[in-house]
Amino acid sequence: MNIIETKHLTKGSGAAMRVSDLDLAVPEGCVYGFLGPNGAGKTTTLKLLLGLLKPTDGTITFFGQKMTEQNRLSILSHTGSLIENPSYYGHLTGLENLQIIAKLKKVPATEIEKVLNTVRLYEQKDKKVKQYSLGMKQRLGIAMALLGNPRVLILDEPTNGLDPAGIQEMREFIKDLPVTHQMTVIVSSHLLSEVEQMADMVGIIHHGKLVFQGTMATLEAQGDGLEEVFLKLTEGGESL
Amino acid sequence: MNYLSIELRKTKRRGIWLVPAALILFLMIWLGHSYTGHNGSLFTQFGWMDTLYNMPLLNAILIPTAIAVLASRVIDMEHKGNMWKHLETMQSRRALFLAKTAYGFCAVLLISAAEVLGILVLGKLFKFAGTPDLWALCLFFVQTLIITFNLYLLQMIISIVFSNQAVALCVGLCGSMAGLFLMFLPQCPILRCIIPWGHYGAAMFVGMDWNEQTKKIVGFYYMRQNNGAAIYIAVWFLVLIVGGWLLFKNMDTDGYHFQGIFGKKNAVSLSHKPVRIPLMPTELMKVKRTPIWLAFLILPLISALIGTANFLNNLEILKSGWYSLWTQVSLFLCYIFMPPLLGVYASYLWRLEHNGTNWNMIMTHSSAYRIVFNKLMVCAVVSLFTMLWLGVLFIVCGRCAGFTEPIPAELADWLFFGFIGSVSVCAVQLFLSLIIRSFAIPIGLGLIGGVAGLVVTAKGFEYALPYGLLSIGLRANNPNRVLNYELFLTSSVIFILLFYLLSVAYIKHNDVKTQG
Repeated sequence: MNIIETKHLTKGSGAAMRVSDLDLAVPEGCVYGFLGPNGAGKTTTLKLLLGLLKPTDGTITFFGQKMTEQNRLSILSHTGSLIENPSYYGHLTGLENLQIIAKLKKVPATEIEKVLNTVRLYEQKDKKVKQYSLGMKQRLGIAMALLGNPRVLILDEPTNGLDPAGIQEMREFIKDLPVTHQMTVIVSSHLLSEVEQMADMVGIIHHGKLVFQGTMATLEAQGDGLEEVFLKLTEGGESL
Repeated sequence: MNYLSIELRKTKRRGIWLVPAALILFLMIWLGHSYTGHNGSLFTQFGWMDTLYNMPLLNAILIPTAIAVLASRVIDMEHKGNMWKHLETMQSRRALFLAKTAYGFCAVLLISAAEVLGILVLGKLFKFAGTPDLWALCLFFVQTLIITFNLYLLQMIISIVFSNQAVALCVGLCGSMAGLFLMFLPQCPILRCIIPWGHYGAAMFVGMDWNEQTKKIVGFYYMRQNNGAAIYIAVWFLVLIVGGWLLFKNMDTDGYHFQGIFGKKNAVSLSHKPVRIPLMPTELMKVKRTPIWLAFLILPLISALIGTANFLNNLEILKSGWYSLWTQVSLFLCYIFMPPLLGVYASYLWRLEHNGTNWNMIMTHSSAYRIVFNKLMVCAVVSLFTMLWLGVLFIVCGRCAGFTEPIPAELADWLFFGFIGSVSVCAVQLFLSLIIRSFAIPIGLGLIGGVAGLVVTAKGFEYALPYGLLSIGLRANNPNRVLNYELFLTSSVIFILLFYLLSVAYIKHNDVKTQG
């Protein structure tokens, strides 16, 4: 069963087309790698999924329900997300930020401690977020997304700003989420190797169009190496 | 020169010129207004002197806030873009400081020149008698230039030191209030000289002659104020430029915050208490550690103190006890200072969400109705406390002034309807700060709105503008005025609902914009 589906999802028109005619299908319990060069429309698509942007055309279905303005928030209460950069109030501590999110999501306090430990931020929880390093802010963003154990997790380039050990740890963590937390994860990246490491399903977007969607194995079967397949799909050596 | 041109380029599309343009336009309309109508000929007869007599007062009311907005616009873009560290690698601190200073000087130069030009235009338009006194105009130009430049320097420094622009704008508002009031306290001329906002009054060189019996203007005369204002202005200039530079030079590159100067706070101790979820509403959690509410304490306090002093000085004219005192305490507060101050708060509340990618987070967790409602509630609570505080100050000041009569029962009525009017203003300011992402511009609009409230009240349309509702709710210019309660409440409810729904509609119908 597909937990998220989009039909003809389109944003923008004419020369200002940002994404066009996307038919995404995300099966439940997978890690869906959303791959594409910089500026291909990854963030736009994820923002469309969350209703942060209004689609020009097309539909979005979550959990078998068509998303509308009315049920948007009740659907989103089963999701966690980190889009663009982490969102935070810099003058508050990491803990206070999480408390605000917990109140909005109506999640008990025990959850806060759990996610703080998950992203290994417990020791830093009483520090103001504006004093955090980039990687700590990123981990706070992921903690916010994880809060409340959502069914779907949408992460936009989650390894941004993490150090190599952190990147590796994050990839392992995301990869295991369907098993450890029964979550479905959509994770965007412009790094082929990263998606290869984490994802079961892949969608490749280029110039706002979906050029490939299928399992990792199907993608691999298309040519000599993943690298080549990817470059072919995205028309060669354009910025990656 | 090169760096100045960079500053000019940086402010492209920021609409910086809008602030001074609005200021000049406003001055022209205000002054022009007094030359029309049945009393007009009386003033045009003395036109050249009359403008020079009125200008310092208008400057003291309008320029401090306008300059605070301008300086904040010039500085805030560096905070927003996190540019300080980056700039440091390309230009010396001295060059950067000089460039920002030179930019402000040019802006102030243009404003001062435009004021003089405005006087000349008014003179031509309304056919002032006689010829303009060029020496007087030059003196006025130089005074405006230096005093305003001092204010620019002060605001610029505060805007740099405190990345939270609310601080700079609150200081600007409180200072301007103090400066304005001190102009009406002739007994202590020294006070006017001490604060830079009082210098417009301290440097005035035109006096008005009026007939004691008929209360009519007889004429104007040049005077020489022996208060040493020039020395104070010069000292302030030196302190600001040298002090500002030293502060800027020694500031911590990393962050440019308050802590940078007073030593960074050391490592935060980790609390091992079990994590709880506070009962406090989320909106109140967000404004933790932001001392903006201090301004809501200080502004009424200044208003009450100086209002009372003014009252005690004019006992022979102000004979209605509590009622006269109420006017003194509340008049300027509600027209000129409360609207922009509420604007500061509204801007701050939305700034929290305009920052970074916070809109993403907010919009995935709460509905537009709820979030605007919450913001409005916070503003309403702050307004309520401000009104109660004003009431307390009024009573204390009255007792100190030696009133033995009982406190007027109408006080509760004034404060309650002042509160309702103030919530209407909040609804408008929240809408403005939502759609205009700049921190300072909506505050400038708040000032214009407040003065517009004065105008509509004078013209009898006070129920048609939220800013008018605030002043008549408080009954600031006439405590005995009978309020049309039905009309007042209908009008307030319409304004509050209208701007609430406009804000909600704006959020709902626009794509989320983040500052990435």
